[in-house]
Amino acid sequence: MLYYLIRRFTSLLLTLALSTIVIFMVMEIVPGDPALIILGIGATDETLAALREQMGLNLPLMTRYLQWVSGVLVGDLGTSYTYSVPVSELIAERSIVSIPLAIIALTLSTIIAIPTGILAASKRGQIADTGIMGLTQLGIAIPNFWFAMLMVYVFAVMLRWVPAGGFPGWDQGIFNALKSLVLPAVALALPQAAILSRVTRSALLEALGEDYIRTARAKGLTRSMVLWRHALRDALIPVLTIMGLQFAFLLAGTIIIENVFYLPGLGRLIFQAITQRDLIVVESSVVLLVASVILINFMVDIAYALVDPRLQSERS
Amino acid sequence: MSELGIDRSHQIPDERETWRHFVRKAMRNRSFVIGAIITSVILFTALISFIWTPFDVTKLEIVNRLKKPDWVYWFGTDHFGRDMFSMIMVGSRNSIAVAFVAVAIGLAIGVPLGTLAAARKGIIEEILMRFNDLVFAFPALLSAVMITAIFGPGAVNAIIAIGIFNIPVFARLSRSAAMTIWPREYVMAARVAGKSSTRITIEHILPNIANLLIVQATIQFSLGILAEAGLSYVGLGTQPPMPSWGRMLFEAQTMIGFAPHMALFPGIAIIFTVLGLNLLGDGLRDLLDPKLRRER
Amino acid sequence: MLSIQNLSLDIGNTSILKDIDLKIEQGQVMGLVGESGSGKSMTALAIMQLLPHSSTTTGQINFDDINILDSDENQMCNLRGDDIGMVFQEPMTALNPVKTIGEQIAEGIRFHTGASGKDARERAIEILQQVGLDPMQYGLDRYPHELSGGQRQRVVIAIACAMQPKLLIADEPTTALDVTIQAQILELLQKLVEENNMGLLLISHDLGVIADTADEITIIRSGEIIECGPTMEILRNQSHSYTRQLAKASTHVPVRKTRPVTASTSKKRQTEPLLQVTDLICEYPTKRKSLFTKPKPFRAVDGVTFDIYPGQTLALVGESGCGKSTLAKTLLQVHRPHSGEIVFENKNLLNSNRKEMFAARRHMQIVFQDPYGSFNPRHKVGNIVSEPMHLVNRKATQDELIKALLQVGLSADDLEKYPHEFSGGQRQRLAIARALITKPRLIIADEPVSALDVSIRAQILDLLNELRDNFQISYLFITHDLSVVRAFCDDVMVMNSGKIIETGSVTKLFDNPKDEYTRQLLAAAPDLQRTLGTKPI
Repeated sequence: MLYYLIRRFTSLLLTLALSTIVIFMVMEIVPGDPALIILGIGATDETLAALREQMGLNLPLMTRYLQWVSGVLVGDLGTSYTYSVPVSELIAERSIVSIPLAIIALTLSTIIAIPTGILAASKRGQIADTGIMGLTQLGIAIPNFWFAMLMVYVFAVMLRWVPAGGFPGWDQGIFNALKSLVLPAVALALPQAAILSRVTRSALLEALGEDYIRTARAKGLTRSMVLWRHALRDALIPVLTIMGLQFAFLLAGTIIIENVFYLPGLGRLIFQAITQRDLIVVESSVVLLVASVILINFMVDIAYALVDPRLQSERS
Repeated sequence: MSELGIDRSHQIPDERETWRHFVRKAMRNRSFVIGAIITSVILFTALISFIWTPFDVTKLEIVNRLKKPDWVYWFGTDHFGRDMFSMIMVGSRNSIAVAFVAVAIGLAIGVPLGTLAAARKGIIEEILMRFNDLVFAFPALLSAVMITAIFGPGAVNAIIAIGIFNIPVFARLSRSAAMTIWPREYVMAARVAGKSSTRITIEHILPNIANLLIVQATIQFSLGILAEAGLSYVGLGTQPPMPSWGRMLFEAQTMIGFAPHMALFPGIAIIFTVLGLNLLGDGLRDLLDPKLRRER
Repeated sequence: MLSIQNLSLDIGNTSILKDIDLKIEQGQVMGLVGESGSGKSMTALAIMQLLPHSSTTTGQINFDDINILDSDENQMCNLRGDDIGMVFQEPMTALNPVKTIGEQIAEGIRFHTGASGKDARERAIEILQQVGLDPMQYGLDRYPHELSGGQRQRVVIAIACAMQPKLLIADEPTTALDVTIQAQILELLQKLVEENNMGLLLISHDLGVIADTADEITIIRSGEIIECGPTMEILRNQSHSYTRQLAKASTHVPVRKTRPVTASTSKKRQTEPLLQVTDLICEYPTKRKSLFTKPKPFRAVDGVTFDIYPGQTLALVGESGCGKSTLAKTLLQVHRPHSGEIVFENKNLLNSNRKEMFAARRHMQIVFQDPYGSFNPRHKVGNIVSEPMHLVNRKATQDELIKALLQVGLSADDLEKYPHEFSGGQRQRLAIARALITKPRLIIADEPVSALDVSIRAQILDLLNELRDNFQISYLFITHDLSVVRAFCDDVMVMNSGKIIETGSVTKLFDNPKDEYTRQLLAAAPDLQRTLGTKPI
């Protein structure tokens, strides 16, 4: 198991290193001169040159890359061109909106999806199964931002239960803050729950078709005991994989959903920074997002090893 | 050899079936039939929009703005007085084109990469897997936003952005599918006949993984339509004046309080299309994949 | 104890079983024999009520005084694993890979007795001991993937016998296992029958296995009982024509028109060998186990030397994993050997370039085991048979294709068909036609009849024999089935963990084996004729 984890960890580091290079190179070819953006169109050539020199833009590519990466490693992400505050502060301030949002959404999607998936699999071919599968078909097809708009119309415009958008901040009371996160979280969670529910069902049915299920039935175990004790654990592996991937989807989904609800989160930060050509913010926040995706996938790998004894023993 | 007739009696059905048999089975598959009908309706609408729409979508008639659906304007009008139904018709072209080309990009690059990795193993496989890890580490929408931000918003860049994410999806699928075909004895027979791995891939591997690729292609197609809508919604996809479903939803957002029909119909169009494609994909998988066909 | 009367079974609209009658008493071994598709497994599943969803049964199955077909699911759950246990064919997939064997054995005990976890584990240890797995070595905390096929089958038997059932159903319990392991498992089953005085329904396609083990025999064909009664009586009298046909096919010896060609006669006549293999070593890289030590390659073929003469049929015998398939692949140049020499028709295959080597190799062809997996389902017969012509860089002509098909007893019309339109036996003919297309002098036959029913097996052996008579083809006949070797081959090599441990003519080696391993192998192999000759009624 140790060797398996070491191998996964090296591949994690490699992917991480590669992704910093990709992000850095992408930012290099983005049209637009940061110095010009900061100073505006009226700047003279001399001041521009001076600022470039000060920002280190004239240094060789390699040096700038290393400076940036080593900065990221110690938490120094540079200073935003447009906000003139340290990027790390900016990201921290936005994360306290985005991270709770992602966690609520993932939890919501899991507690909806797993039970419905199990129910559908155990009632295969019956009304419950057909109903759940029909709903999930619909859930997958609904664009989350459209669903968000619909909810805004119903719950904010018509019923006035929750605000239509914006975020009061955590210091305005947890209840108020959570209230403004409810709709975005539901909008994010719904399509993911639909996918996860389908995956759970099909993984379970796949496991139920294995030979060892017949062995267990021949032992005298009832249909439901076989499902809970044998099939479920086997089905966990594909379910975990999808949950890992969904985390990435949720993070990306925040870019759009935070726009719908005017939430000051990471996704909106990246989006605004891109349109304002605030490259240093884009660079750093994208690196953080990518790193968290890679880290989550590594955690999924660890979970695999815990679920599957074949990975634990070095002999396999 | 005179007893040869004996073992002709019990013939075993196999993966391969005649065309007529397939059609008969397809007609009994509910998902496939519904999915195929919806998909045909959408395709037909898109084609019709080239020669006819109820109203001209480029003409602004402010007098008629924000009309609720009625017998003249079936889906109502938007804030510029354009007919929503006509816009949705023209927008379908756009969605289909973007998703189609993005899937084509994924297939054209991903499948050769994946089958090559399965055939050659070793270092090529390793590089491909790392590349896959890398692309999967960038959430699709995030990289799409980045790409469109760099090269400027527009339909073409949206296609590229969505297409890039399709590459590892197809690479991964074709690699794992090809790896289940390689140990088969008929592949061994071809190797014994001295055929090169490229030739084996073309003659034996590809025809036998085509089913899976077709099914995945319909799924990626529907995901492409959703992604295009998302990108256009945040203003990075198709640009005005070309109507697009995502863009229409963006414009509807500020008017949701007094013109909810503007948000309703484009959304339903998206759901209808994606639902149709997913049902088609599900139906095809049931029909084409022998593994999932078994019952217990 | 168990009595089945007028049992009929339909799945969907197909009739699987028709009016089956069967009785098993305590302490009795009932052998159920039939070819594939005869409905023998379905009979077992009907007793367990584990049939597929769309099945309908009529008739009666009585177990003691319980009417099984009228019992509901709860009653059946109490019966299964408690009074009736079942063992399946494929031990590699019959156990849950993510649970320890202890959990899997104890699970049934706890379900049926409500015992505590500790008590159930203690009982599990006892049972493991009973099925011959030393709990010190194979503890309860082992996972299935840590055990070999034979050991896993013992665990499956332990699960089935955990509650000391009155009836054990074993569906082809040894078909997936090597002969020596098969003998051990059969012995274990017999021991359990005696110790627990249970009834055993042993299902098999192999008359030899049944003759060795069963007291009573039931022969089934296409869902109907052909004959039943005491095993020895039925098999010796062979009063029913189907029984006779089965017994004949199982011991079928093709009639050879030419004289056998052995290595010693060829040497005497100073014939040049067709194929010379010298000191062949093949290695596979193994998975890295630690960061610091380089993994040691696994030596699958370890210094193998042998010759094949024109017209000779050389058997290569060994258990699974002994390296016989690797050897075949290396001869065919699909694997590159670590070292050694392969000289075919006086050309050294290993130091010529790819093109030359394949051209030189056109006279060496292969026939595979699996008649279902060895053709691309999307190619037509014409394409399939033509494939080896790639070695000589051209397509086969229509005439050549038709000739090859006729030679194996297929017809010219078959060219436009797809493989799925053929039965198992016909497919094996197709595989042979594919091998014949380049007019080979040596055919490597990798278990060519192992997957076939006995009657078809006899036909294919006849065909191979005819080709050898007519075209002086040599065979390297790879098999684990010693009865086929005795019936068909001239010389035999015994292989064990990569090494050839004994070589000689079939008659000499079978009658007077020198090596201990060979002796074990011969003793373990079920042999219908031997059993019929020695066992009293």
